[in-house]
Amino acid sequence: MASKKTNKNSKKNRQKGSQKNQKQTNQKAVKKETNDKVPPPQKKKESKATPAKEKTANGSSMNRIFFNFIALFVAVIFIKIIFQPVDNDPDKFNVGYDWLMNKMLKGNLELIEQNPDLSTKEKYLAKGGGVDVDYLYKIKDATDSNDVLFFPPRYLLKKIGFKKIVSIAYATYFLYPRKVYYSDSASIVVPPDATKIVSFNDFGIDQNVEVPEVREQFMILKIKK
Amino acid sequence: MLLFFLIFIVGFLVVSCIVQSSNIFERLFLGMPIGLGLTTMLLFLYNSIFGSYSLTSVFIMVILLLLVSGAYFFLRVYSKERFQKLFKLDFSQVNLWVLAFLGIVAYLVWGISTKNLFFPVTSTDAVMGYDLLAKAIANEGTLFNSVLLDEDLVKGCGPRLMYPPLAPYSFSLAHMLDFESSKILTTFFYVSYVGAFLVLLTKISNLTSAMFFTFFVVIIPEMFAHGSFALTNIPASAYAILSVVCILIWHQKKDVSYLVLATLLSSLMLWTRNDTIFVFVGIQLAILFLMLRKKNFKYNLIYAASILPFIVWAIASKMMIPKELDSIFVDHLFYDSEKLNKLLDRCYTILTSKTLYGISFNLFIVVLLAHIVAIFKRKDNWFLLTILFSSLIGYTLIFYQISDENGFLFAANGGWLDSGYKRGLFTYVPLFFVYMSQSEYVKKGFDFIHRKLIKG
Repeated sequence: MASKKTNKNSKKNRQKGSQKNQKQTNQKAVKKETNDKVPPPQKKKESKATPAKEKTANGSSMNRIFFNFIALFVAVIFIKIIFQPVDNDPDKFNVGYDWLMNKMLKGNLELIEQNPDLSTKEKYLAKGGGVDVDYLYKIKDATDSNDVLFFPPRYLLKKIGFKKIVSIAYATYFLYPRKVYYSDSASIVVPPDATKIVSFNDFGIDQNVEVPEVREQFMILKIKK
Repeated sequence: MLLFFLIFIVGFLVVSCIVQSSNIFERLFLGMPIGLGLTTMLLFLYNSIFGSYSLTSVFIMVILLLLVSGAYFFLRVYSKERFQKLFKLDFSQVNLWVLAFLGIVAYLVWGISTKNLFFPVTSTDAVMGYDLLAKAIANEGTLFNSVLLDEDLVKGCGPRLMYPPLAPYSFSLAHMLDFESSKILTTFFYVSYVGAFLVLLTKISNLTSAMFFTFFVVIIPEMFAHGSFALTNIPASAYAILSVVCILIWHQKKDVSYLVLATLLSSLMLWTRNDTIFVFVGIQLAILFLMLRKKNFKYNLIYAASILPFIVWAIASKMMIPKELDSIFVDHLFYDSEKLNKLLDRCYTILTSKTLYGISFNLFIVVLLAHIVAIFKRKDNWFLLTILFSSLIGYTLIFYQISDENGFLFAANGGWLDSGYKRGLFTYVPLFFVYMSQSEYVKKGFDFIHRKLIKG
């Protein structure tokens, strides 16, 4: 009888949700469990419920696996459709996705795989740096980092075939910390702080510079101080 | 690399302090962009007060940041229980759908990062702008250096040198450490952005949905290509998008710590590019509409703090940079229907271009139309839509105010619209997918699919 009462009490207390009562009930329940050698009738319920639960669990687990494989299949097909090659047809919905995966990314990764040891200069040339980058590296190699460089006028550089060197920002990016000046189109006035002249087609040869014995189309002329 | 590791730890600790309930992945992915942003602010402060710095000074500054954030973390935030909980990883939501999309996203991010790290800086805007300035900062130890103070160079670089200095300062760290190029920073920003986007999106939608929409965000063609350029667009958009997602988490979960995190992210967004101001305005408007009935403007004030870096840079650049550039804007308000129509037409063409943004806009319109009743009757996602539309409209209309006297506004391949507008959309197009993930029917659909995949 006493044990039945405690069980009833414990149920009531659980319903109330009071923490104190819960503690007491738990203590009583523990006492009861230790006193009774035979476990309470709950065990019977468990023995009946377990196979049903297991069945449901197995069923839902099978369902889960089934749905997961269906989802994987759908995802793979979806990704394949998204990146399907479309031969640059601008009307196809995935023309941009095809470009990023099959052209831009694939092309670049192949280039990297085939040329893993390219120097920085070679990488610039591979990315369309052209004659501008080639000459900027030559100028950089032939000068010191504290040099102040005097370039020919922009029209002359364009005439030779340069496109990007004519921009002071572009030239400075490759030559920094060297300072860059461009000659005026009308007359050559060498800035007082300039230390070297970047010469193409004899530009600056008539200035106060050390003229090399062998003249070439491209030269770096040291300004006499 | 030690310097970058320390910067990452600073960010990790700051996120841990701000959002104490954040999981390990939030801290890992947000660590680098926040650490870098704070470091650049400190470098600017140092330049403004003391002048030039050396690499040793940078190390000391980062260590100081680390000590301050570490001290706060261990004194106010750290508890053994919380620390143990942080490393209890829950993979119960992972399913084969998620793994399939995670696999392709990981491949794409690896691919674009490999490309990025292999090639040197070649994009014109970086060579004749941000990275040129970064080289000068690294060499001279100050933002106000021989490049930024040279009138010819400032003219030669155009408006690129006028942007706030987060990107050049960040890139300069790689130059100071003698890296082959500064592009490792792009990878830091890009990987963090993709990871943080996924992780934060899972806070407001299930993993199945978050992974699917992260995939769509990653494959936005033009934005993906920028994962290998040393430009400001990816960092600025990353900060902006993550700010908006954090604001949404605050709105949905009523967790103020995410509002604070969004404020920090927005301040770094405005410390990267001025044109992100429209995202700030959009978020302020959405919070204002939300709180108007209650007449509680506390949250507007908290978020308003994020505009500080914008103001600081506006003052500093005006004072320091020899800016003789003619303004590109028309200095008065006007109405020109022909220009407006032409502008909207071109913007629509750019936005719907499948080569630039894939089917992002089409999907967005379909989902938006499907929810038209839900939006007007049940105010479905009006908070996010207010942010999205007010900022996008503001951003688009600012191009209307740009003068077209030299024909550069509408010029093909390199004009303000074809070059500038399309890159600015990196902030808005991913938000289309955030909206889709939050829209009523899509959310219900993905909840159903997710339940089936997890519980069977």
